[in-house]
Amino acid sequence: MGFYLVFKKTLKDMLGIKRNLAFIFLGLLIPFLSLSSMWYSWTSYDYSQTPSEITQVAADSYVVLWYMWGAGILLAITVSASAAGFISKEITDGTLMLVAAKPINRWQIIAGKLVALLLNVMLLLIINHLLTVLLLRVAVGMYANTTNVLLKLTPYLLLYAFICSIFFAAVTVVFSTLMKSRVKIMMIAIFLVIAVFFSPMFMPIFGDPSFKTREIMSYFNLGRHTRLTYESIYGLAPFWEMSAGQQLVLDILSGTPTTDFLDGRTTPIHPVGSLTILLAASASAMALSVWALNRKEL
Amino acid sequence: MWRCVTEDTLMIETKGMTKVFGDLVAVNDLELRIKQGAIHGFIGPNGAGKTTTIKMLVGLLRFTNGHGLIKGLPAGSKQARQLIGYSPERPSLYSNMTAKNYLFYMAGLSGLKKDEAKARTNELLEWLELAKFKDKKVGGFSAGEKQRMSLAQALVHHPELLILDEPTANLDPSGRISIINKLKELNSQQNITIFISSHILYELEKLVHSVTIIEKGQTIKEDSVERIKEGFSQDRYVVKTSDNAKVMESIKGKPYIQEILLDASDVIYVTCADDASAMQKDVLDVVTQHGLRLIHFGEEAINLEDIYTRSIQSGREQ
Repeated sequence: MGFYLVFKKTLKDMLGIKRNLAFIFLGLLIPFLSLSSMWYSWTSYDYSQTPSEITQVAADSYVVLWYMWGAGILLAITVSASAAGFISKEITDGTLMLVAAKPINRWQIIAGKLVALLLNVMLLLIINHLLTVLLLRVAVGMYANTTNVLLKLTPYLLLYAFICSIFFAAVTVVFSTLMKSRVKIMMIAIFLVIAVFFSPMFMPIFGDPSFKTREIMSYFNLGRHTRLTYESIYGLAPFWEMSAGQQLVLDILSGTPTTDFLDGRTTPIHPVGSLTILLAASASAMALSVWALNRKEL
Repeated sequence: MWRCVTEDTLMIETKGMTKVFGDLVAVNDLELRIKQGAIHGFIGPNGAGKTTTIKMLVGLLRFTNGHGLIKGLPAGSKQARQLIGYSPERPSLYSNMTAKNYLFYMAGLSGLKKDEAKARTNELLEWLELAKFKDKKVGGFSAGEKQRMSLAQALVHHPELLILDEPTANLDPSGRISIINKLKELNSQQNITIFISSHILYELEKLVHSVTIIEKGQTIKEDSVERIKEGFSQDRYVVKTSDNAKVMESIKGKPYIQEILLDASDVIYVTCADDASAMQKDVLDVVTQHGLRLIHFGEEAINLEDIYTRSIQSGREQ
């Protein structure tokens, strides 16, 4: 009952029109503009590409955009911004005191809020994805076959987004439980987003490490784990396979090549290993939040 | 869950209750024994440890040392919280919720079923004269309305123990009287034990059966109001005549006088060593002989404020 009520209240609080419209608009804007401009170039000039080749490259590009934006930076920032205030705001406002004085287990507060957030962002992502595909079909004239492939990719894209949401939400809630300042929590969250989605920026810090060092570093590279998790999920789609070229684009964007550039050797983590690491990190973060909230003096 | 059965059903029992924040000992080895059905006042100067004690009993702060029981259940446990309704000094409510939704939400968190929660919400809004604001957002409530909302949320799950931290602070006189009357009603009709901290002692006196006075986290006095009053007012008389100096002069050296003093408001306080009848006779003789006007003669009526002031004073002297 306590979990359900917290869930319901949090979900209601998140249904503010401005916030949700902003997410849908931003989520739609970048993939739509990028794909529509690419679509015109693929179809307007003579690239000697067949419709199936165009479908392949369109699906590949969409999947990369989803990784970087829809289920990437936008999702991570939205989830972190929402989760940052979950506990810290209630503590500074004093509202948590009356709730915690009730005969409720504190884990229900965290669980209710997290599930509400996940449901909210998943609904927004479904809307985003479907609207983008629909707009590309109607406004840009994307082929029916391409539309079909993008629609069939929906469960895989959403599953990855779901895992990504859990990870960012769980990690942010830990800081929300431990710290009072939402500004500081957001700064940490933004740093985390940068570490995941702009990891190539950090590579020069390490100079020219040996293969062994790179191997060790790869275990701590969050960008690598999200990228490999993504691969383990979209790899399940039987009707589509990402081209080697686009895989390389994804590798470069995530700063985490699946094969080592320098000597061509395969780095050690299996995609399912990365998925396990992300899920384990999320579970540990949630457990830490519950522990910290149970110990919290109000 | 273990339950400690104590004699003479105690609603609150603490032993060696201690809370330390860094170098500050906020609550120091505090012992409380509050009987079921009592209205118990908890008073002390600012920073004495009242709110800390209350938060420890509710489970919002952990014990550094010692332990506390709520009707035999460990303070802070879920089962103990089921018995407690708590209202803080400055209640923070969800400002974007309406009064009705807020109470319904708190009722649900307290474990009430949907229909029961709905009925209880309406009942409390009506009882606390908030029904006309039921669809108004709590954020727009006045201090008094917020305080009543806080009391409503504390009562929503039919608690056996009500713990109130300054429930009448920031209220106008009519708001304070209304809350005091409601609390009396709760205690007399539903036998709810009330543990209340307040600075408004003359109002608290009308309400409580017993008090604990604390300073620097330690109990200075704990007893029923009647017994404490008896202890303080024993053989102390107040005399006021048209010539107090003459009366003082006449009875000052008498053997039955333990202490005599004339205070700034020109009132004589006489403490007798034994039977006061000799002193009464002498005072009346002086008045008759000198043709004085007797303005007041009687045993000192001590109030909670006096008890508090003297207890704190003697506590500091010790």
